Amino acid sequence: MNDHELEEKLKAARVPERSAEYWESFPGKITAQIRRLPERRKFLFRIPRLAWSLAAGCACLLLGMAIWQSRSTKVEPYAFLQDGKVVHETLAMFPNQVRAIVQDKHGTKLILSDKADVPSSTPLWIKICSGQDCRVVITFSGQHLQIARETVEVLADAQGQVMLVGDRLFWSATEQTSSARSLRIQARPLALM
Amino acid sequence: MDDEQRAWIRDSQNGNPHAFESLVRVHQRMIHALTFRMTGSMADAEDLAQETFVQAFQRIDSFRGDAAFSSWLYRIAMNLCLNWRQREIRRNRLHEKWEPPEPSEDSSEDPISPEVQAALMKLHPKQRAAVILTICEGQSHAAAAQVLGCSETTVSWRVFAARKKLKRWLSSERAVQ
Repeated sequence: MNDHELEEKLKAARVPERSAEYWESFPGKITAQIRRLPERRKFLFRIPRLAWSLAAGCACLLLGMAIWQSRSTKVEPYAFLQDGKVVHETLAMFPNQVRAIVQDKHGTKLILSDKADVPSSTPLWIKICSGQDCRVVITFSGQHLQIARETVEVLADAQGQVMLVGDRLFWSATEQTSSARSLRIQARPLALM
Repeated sequence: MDDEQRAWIRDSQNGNPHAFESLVRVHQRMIHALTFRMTGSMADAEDLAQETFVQAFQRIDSFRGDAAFSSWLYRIAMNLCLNWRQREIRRNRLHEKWEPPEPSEDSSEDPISPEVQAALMKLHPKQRAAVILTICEGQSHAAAAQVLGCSETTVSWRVFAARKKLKRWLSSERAVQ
């Protein structure tokens, strides 16, 4: 069979004829269906194109604002230890025993002393980040921390300035050694509620 | 498209169902032929033709007269037919699952060309659509591409592939007869 024969055969295949009454009544069936459509559906496509564009624009704007707001109000991953009330309750459970509360990617740890020998002072909030890894520590002046494989002492002066002092590492809000500069450190006294 | 049709379109766009009825009267045979060739069933063809015109009325504001009104209608009908095929497959699967098999009914109700319709129905729906538009309806590949929403090359390729299959099937039918 060649192309011409195939075309002849396809064109000769007529669609079955319907009665004259069918063709007469069909348009009426359509208008009856259209009349039965709820107004909302009937006029769904009658809203001018400009109105659709405006509506779509507003929807995009609202969505953008919602995303922006959700990002800006995203809960800070280490916010838990910024809550003075939570820290206060933890300290109250173990009076003068809490050396540090540490929160990192593995979870939250409570480091306690065997005896109630930790002097009472204002808790200090310290956040130490190296690359993507961050650690938040609640501790007290005079306690020791491990930072960059070095043991450093946490000190706070009367004005609430925090210092981290090690053999090679030193950090304060105004001065840092190069080993401390490679980290991102924040520290401040934690107000208890 | 003559002035009378333009006036019917304009009136339909203003929500006049009587003007739309006149448009249906002019295009009903063409749409029924298309839906029958795509489905091989008189009942389904009627349902799809009705759905085509109802959707056309709902969307008539989007018709801007860039193409012929008939091409615009073809496009709506063809999309419905291609979706109908998917619905049909799902429906058949469901029936097979829940109902005992019934004796198969010849889907083609055309007494003149059952073997041609059967061969068309064996084609992939998109190839069938390309053949129906270009060969049966005599549209150019460019016009068919507009209706099908694809490139002219894609239409040509589908027609080429469909021709090969149809020749094989219809030749073997003839040999059997």
